[in-house]
Amino acid sequence: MSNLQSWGRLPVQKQQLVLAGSAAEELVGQGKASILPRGLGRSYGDVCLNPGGKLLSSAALDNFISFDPQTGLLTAQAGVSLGEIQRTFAPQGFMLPVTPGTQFVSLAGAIANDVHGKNHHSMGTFGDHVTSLTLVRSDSSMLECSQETNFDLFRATIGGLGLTGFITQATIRLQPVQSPWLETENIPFKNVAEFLMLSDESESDFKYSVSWVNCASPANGRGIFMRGNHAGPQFKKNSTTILRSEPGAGKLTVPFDLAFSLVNKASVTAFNLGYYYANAATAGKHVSHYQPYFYPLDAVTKWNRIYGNKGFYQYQSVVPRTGGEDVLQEMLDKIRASGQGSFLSVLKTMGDLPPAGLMSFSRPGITLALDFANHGSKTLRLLDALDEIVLAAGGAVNPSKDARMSREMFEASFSNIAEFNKYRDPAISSAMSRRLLGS
Amino acid sequence: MKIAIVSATSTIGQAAARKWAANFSIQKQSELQFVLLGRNQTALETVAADLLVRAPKAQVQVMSLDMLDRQSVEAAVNGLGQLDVALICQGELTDQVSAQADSAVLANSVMVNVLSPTLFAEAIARKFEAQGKGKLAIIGSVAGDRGRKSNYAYGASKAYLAAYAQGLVHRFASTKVSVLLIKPGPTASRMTLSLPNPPAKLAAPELVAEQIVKSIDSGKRGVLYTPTIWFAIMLIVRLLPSFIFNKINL
Repeated sequence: MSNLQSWGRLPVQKQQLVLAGSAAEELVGQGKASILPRGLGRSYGDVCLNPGGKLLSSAALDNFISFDPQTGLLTAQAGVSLGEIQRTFAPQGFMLPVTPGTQFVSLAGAIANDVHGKNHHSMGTFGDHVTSLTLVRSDSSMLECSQETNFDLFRATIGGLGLTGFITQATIRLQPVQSPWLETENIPFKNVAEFLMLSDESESDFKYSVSWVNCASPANGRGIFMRGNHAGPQFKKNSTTILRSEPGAGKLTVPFDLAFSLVNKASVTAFNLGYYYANAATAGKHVSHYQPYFYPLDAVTKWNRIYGNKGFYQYQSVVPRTGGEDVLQEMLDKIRASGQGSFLSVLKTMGDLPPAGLMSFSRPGITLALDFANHGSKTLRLLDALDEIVLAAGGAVNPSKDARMSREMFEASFSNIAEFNKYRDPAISSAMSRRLLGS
Repeated sequence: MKIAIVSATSTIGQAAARKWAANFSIQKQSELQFVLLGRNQTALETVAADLLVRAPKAQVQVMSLDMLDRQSVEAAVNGLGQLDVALICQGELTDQVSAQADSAVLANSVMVNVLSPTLFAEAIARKFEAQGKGKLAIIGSVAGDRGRKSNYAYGASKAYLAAYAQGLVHRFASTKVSVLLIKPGPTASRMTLSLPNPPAKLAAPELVAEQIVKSIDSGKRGVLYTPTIWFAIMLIVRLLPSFIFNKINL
């Protein structure tokens, strides 16, 4: 039995970790004990937890299988991390078409949560670039799933939160890039209206865009808009030597568990002020290596420890664009009034590409992601209040990051739940599925 | 550079191969040649395919054989031709309780952890002696530094390898053949992660492999503790007087 938590480090019962082989035969004949596929455990909430049951880890499935530079198609085992893919292929002139804000994510985890990144408006979600996957189910079937074969299961597995079976390997299409560098531009904005204007004018010309927004007082609602494109071949010359030194990644760490949280009203206010002025002072155009650009938080390994041993909640919502400005302002006001500010509040518009998965969170609109230190019922009340705003606006909350939303909120967020349930594997469940799907 | 990895399917062996692959730029990869040896052909082919994705211009050859048979081992090593580096990684984490109760477990442990690596080490030493140069590294363990009740069946086999490597270091002292015994601390591998109670602190295989590859490439001789902290830990463990050591549950 191991003391495994999710990235949010909320307290959890003990669970047993089992290493999966390439046929994941460990899924078969489990009897009544619930089992759950597990990647790198970077989900914030309880989607990667199975208290009282078993976790079937993809840690030993970390091989690349094949790569074709003509098509960009990469086949790899489930446990290969996104960071490993970037490090291996950037020198070969390819990168992931979509990446979330951390590279410590497994390939299968990225599919099961249908993650998205700063380029949702131009490239959609991770699932949009998956061409096939191999799924092992507890009835001992091993199925190839793609657009052509077992499409229903393919669509249910992308964004299926690990509940449809164990993904042993997958094929994704990498994008060709001319260098590991990005040309970026930071623009300060004063309020949500300005953020939306910047989004509108940037979406067609910039592949990547994301914003940080201040949700503490003073100057609630102002922020930094960050947009970028892959740099051209003029940056190629020194790319291998520069890649070696890998700026950032894991050089700093929070070396021990803290009994208390460093995140409080004073530190959040100070951080939000400092972050704004530091970035506003350096506003303008830059060239950035992909590491600090895509993965700023990866520079500090175990940064989740700053929230102390009570852990924290991540809250990501998406609301429709129409009326979105007022809805976002209402949410920011609610957070400011609660005094429970968030360090890194991320604001982004999502594009209208149709979602790849039956249960994909992404949809057209404006998404806001926030971290909140766990102060017990006070924090839960704030999150419930945010849910009400999102619900009234016809939006959704991301279950991949959630540990507390109500079934009502979940059911309002997803219209395909009944259809999805048909493709679930009966041997598999998670803390989240038992909470939100009833089993 | 031609590198033979014996038991290339082991976590550390594979991590080292990946590190070498990453160290060669696209332009230089064609100079890189791997020979992956082991028992299981399919598993070796998986490792080979992975390396070829990482270093598409490198050459990768796999060779499966009976790792416990002296004639197969000698024939395999002779068939390698000119070789620059050999890394010997095989081993199993013997369950101490089973080894005490079942002599079959004990005998198998001695064969896998002692007999097989010794046969490879000596055959490769002969090759390097004939070549007049070469870099030989053997994976030992911190468990070999002092016998203790919870794992002496495994630890003793690693202590044997330590003395064997020490002898090889002495034999090749004034030549261009370097011999290195590597003592990893507990590392996150298939071996340790499959334990019912995995140790709380496990080193990342990538970190261990990075130190191993760097030390072998630089021609380091003698002993390498990795992660480095284990040099200090084992120094204390070795120096503890028996009357104290024997009262501790380790």
